Amino acid sequence: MTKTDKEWGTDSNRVVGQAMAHDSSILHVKGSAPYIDDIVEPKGTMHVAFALSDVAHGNIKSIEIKESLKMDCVHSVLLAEDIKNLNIGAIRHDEPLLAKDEVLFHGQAVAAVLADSHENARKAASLIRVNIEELEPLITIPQAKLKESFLDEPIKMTKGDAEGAISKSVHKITGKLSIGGQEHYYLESQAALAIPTEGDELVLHSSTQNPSEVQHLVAHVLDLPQHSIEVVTRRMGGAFGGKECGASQIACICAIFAQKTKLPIKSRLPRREDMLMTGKRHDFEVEYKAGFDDEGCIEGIEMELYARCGYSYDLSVAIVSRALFHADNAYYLPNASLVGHLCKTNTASNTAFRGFGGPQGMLAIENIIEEIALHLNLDAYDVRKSNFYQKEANNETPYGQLIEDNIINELAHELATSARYKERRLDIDEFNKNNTYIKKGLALSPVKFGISFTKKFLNQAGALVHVYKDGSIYLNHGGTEMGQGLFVKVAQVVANEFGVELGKVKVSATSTAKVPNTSATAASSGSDLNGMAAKDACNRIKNNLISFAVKQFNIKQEDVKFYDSQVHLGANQMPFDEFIGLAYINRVELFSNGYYSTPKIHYDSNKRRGRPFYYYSYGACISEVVVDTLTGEYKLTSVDILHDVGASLNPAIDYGQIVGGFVQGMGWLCSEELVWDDSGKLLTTGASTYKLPSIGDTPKHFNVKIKPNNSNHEETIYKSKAVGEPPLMLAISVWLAIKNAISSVKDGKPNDLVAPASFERVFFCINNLNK
Amino acid sequence: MRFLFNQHKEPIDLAEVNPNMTVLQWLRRNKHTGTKEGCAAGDCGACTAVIGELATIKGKKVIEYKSINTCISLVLNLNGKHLITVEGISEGNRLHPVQSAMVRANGSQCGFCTPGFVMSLFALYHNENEIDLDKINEALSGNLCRCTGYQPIIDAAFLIFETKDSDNNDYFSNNKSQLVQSLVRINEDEPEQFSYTSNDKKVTYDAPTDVNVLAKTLYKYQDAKIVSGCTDLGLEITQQLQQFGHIINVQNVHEMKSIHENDSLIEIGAAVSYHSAWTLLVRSFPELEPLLKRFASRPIRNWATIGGNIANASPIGDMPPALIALNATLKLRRGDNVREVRLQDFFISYKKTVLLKGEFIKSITIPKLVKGESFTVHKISRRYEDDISAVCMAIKLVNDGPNLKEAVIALGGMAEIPKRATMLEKTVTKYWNKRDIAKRSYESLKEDFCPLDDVRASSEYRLQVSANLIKKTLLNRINKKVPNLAEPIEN
Ligand SMILES: Cc1cc2nc3c(=O)[nH]c(=O)nc-3n(C[C@H](O)[C@H](O)[C@H](O)COP(=O)(O)OP(=O)(O)OC[C@H]3O[C@@H](n4cnc5c(N)ncnc54)[C@H](O)[C@@H]3O)c2cc1C
Ligand code: FES
Ligand code: FES
Repeated sequence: MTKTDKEWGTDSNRVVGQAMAHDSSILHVKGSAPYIDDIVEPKGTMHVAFALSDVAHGNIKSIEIKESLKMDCVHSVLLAEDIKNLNIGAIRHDEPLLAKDEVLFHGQAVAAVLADSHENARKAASLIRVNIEELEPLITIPQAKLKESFLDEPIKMTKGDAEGAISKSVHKITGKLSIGGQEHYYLESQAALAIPTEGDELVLHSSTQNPSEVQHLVAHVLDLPQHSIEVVTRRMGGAFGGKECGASQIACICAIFAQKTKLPIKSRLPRREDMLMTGKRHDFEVEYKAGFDDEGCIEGIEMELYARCGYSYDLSVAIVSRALFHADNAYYLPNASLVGHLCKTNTASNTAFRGFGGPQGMLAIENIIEEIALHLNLDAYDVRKSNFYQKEANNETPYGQLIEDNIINELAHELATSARYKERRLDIDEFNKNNTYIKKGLALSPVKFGISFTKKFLNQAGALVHVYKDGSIYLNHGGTEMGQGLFVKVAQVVANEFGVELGKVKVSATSTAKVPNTSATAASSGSDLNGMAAKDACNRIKNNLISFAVKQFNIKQEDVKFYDSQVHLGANQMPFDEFIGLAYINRVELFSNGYYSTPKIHYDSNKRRGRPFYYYSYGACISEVVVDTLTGEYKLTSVDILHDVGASLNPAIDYGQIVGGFVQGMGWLCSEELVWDDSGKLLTTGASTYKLPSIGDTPKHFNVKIKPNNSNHEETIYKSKAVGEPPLMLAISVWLAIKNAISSVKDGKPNDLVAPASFERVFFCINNLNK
Repeated sequence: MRFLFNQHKEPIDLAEVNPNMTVLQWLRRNKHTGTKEGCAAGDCGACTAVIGELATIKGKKVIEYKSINTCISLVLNLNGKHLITVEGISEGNRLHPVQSAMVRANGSQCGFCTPGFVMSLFALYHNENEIDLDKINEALSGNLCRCTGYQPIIDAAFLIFETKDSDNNDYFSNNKSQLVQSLVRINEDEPEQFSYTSNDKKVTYDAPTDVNVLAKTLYKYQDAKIVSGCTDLGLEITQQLQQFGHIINVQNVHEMKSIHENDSLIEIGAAVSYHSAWTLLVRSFPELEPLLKRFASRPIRNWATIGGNIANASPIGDMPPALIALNATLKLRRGDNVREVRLQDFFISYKKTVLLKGEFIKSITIPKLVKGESFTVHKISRRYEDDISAVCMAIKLVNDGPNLKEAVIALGGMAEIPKRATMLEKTVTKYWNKRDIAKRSYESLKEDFCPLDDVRASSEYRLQVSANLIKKTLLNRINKKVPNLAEPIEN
């Protein structure tokens, strides 16, 4: 059965809401969509490779570059001492482009080599010897805790009196959960191409989610005004948060070389270097205490979340905050004390990754719910239902936002009914009773994810729309395309506004020269923000056109309508192209910028109260697994998803985000395990040891449904909802199902499964139960 | 050195190239950038292309299409073949059926993995007439996608075959006979040895077709590096940045590419790929199939050889434990000398074997099972598909009627070489059918091995899971089936 001819249930009269293919799909399948490394190299392009530290912490005694300079093909070697403005960073400038005096993590770049080819640059870099006096590294969260190594003060969010409530509860549990990080493994590694133009100016092609930040950092490093640098991003071969901050270093280094040599400079990281140099999803350790009643209703909860941030500040504060914002997931917590700690360690700087801390916060609470169910010998879904946020009462989050758009109760119910949760639970209980070595597990988990950047000022966007004389439309906006389908969605908005076919609209590469000061394409906000900005631009142009039509044809404003590739002028109509031609002759302005800033949001980060989120996206997922208790191996056999995207802008794209997000989340919780040795060396530096899900891991029964006849409570772009991040967290149900299967080995006994649930860990978790 | 490339009418004639250059490097340097690099290690499939190779089936010359990881294959190995990349399958504006299916099924998001998937699907399109999920997974087992979650790509694969009969075929089917002729032409007057030396005279490459020539060349140039499927060696070039001065490709040596079988044994040439050996191996040893399925990925299996797997002498190679348990022997040749060595005596210490300089593995002989013998293999890894074993365990049980007479058990991943577990064998023989077999096995395994804690597994897990695998084998023998979850299971 294929899902391609699926009834998406869309209104075929509008371009918006249609299942449209990705804007580059045809180029993708032909291999003719250029990524940075595919751009035809300007003559004389030189290539950069990095020499990395092979210890996690130490003082640099010397760097020997002679051997490398001996190679004919080598132009020069760049060291920290050669760079005036050495430090960059998203919030604080605490990341040296190249290590100076000390190295702070295994894989930190120490030198950059310029040579005539990528291969030669790598070879030359491998000849550089860095002599380091090793110091004791802090690698793990417990080590950082012990040494009180933190980047900043703890972040505290409290509501009511958690401690008091717990002490009064009849039931209490305490426990710990450790949650692993995740390597982004975008298929296209970090890459940049810097081309000197004139004077000090540079054009930089960068595989970044954040062209403006790259521009600003390059300008800072080169000591130039920002207007001297143009950053262009047509597409990325995946990003997932890893190119929000992660793209800057390589871009800055290329820019420095370009400025020095006046030559085009390119660099792309070999996979190993990429995995070593760049940060990952934060690992967390959670300590919790919860008090609850006989139904499992949580009365009080305390959670301490320790995040491994790595050596620098990066976006960790915002990430740990988002973990706290989602430590309630879909549950009402009357009394809560949530504390986030930012552990500073000698590891790469952990950074944004789809969900941005949300997944870790959510896993923490979902694990607690599962433990409560085990403790009370209740079905975990029943415990979930008892704790769900309600509509009128029990709807205030720990940070004081009233949830106005809650649909989790009905959404979960709809899914549980259609996927026969209750019946399958009985079947599985029966199966487990009759089988000693093979056990099944089942779980339903909800997702409630807050949409908006929690830093208010980031919630703004700009767009630029040109209508040419022939009626074709050029669209530019500040969002970047990393595969998520943003470009086609925004193009649909523009086509819809002008009532023309999608083919009329050309989406163009993101450029800091077209829309300035953009926010990163992140926080799932791409189409919310840029769609609105583009719509605004269209409206401004349409206003010009309408005024013109009113004068020209002597009709009323309301009589001018744009649809079916026609401009309807009262009783008459004219093809769009013709009308545009006419407007041009009559000196009508046919281009405009557009701007949007998200309304209603505010947040006081001192009091930790406010309305950080414009709205929430919801979803739920049921997963079923089967576990071999002799080996710890398991298989995900069945998945049912119901997900809320409001009124979908493009169900084909949204479906892709849901499926892809789910599988990526499953990887995080199952097979993807980052391993460091005791000295802090990262051992998983390639796909041969770091195992992303492969095709056979896709569950055989994989039923994904977008919640039909849906809308957004708020005035978002065509009432749609963001979809980039939330589905990743649907995969928590897989981990819970494994935990559920394990617990059936010893009826109702809690178990200490951690994430990721590698086969080995499942094995030992079962062994511990059997002890 | 000549090969066909995409839909070019004339073969490509490479004048100057470093024999260490990979196909991917060659492609991308020559502006064929559709084929991507995601890892340069054979792991991700972004670089997948397809090779068309002449084969003779029932006396007729045909072209076999096989996917390949271009990042770890040498450009000179293309000699006499047809290289097909993502840029070369559509005709003008008409997309290839696999490409249009990918578009219709929304099979691409960021698009970086897409060319690789398209090419694996292209190979599937040419190799199958009917499709099911297992075949799709098999064909795409070497392609990672970080965006789509695979389901849309699986949908696309089904879609291709929905219309396969009615689509107008592709360029390659429509021009079958011309393509066969072109390949025949560039393979004509095949010399006993294709040799190539780079212009700077620094690097030599030989590809003999005759085993005697190979023996002679290798004897003369004892420091030359043998390359077969290049799936291990390729990594030395792209990951360890090695450059070899003299490379000898054994994959064209007729004698090493053939398989002989009689009632009591199979003899497999060392240069036979896993893919080519599959059918025959599985016919005699059906229990090997689950292991073969999990050996690397489809494009690797298309080229990787059993000889290479053995010669590489990795402690975690999958075939050695299986073949040791089956009591396989190797024919080693050096100059004119041929000697036979039992595989279990072949490995000396970490990455060291009894192979002398100038010597090579010619073939592997596997005795068939006789009455009373049964065979099982287990593989434990982090992921079912395309993953290196944490533990690979092969067990041959010899029964005398209902009683177990002997157990031959070999393991990989437990020591610096693949080897037999002698204490465990004794324990199993003695206490087979006992309730506490797992516990006893564990104690013996601890005497046999002192496994490492490494990135794939802890020492303790290796020991305990191995012990449980003995129990699992027993349970399955006495019909208390504990399924292999790596295999498709019924719900
Ligand atoms: C992505 C990936 C996945 C893999 N997965 C697995 C797996 O699951 N299980 C597993 O066991 N292996 C795996 N491998 C390793 C590799 O594929 C196998 O070891 C393969 O069998 C090697 O064969 P080859 O022909 O490619 O060897 P080559 O790379 O050509 O050669 C390997 C070594 O053997 C020597 N050699 C080759 N042939 C001979 C000969 N006839 N006589 C003497 N010396 C010779 C070469 O000089 C070289 O040193 C994987 C590799 C990759 C890249
Ligand atoms: S580039 Fe990843 S397999 Fe070749
Ligand atoms: S579409 Fe991005 S990796 Fe597959």
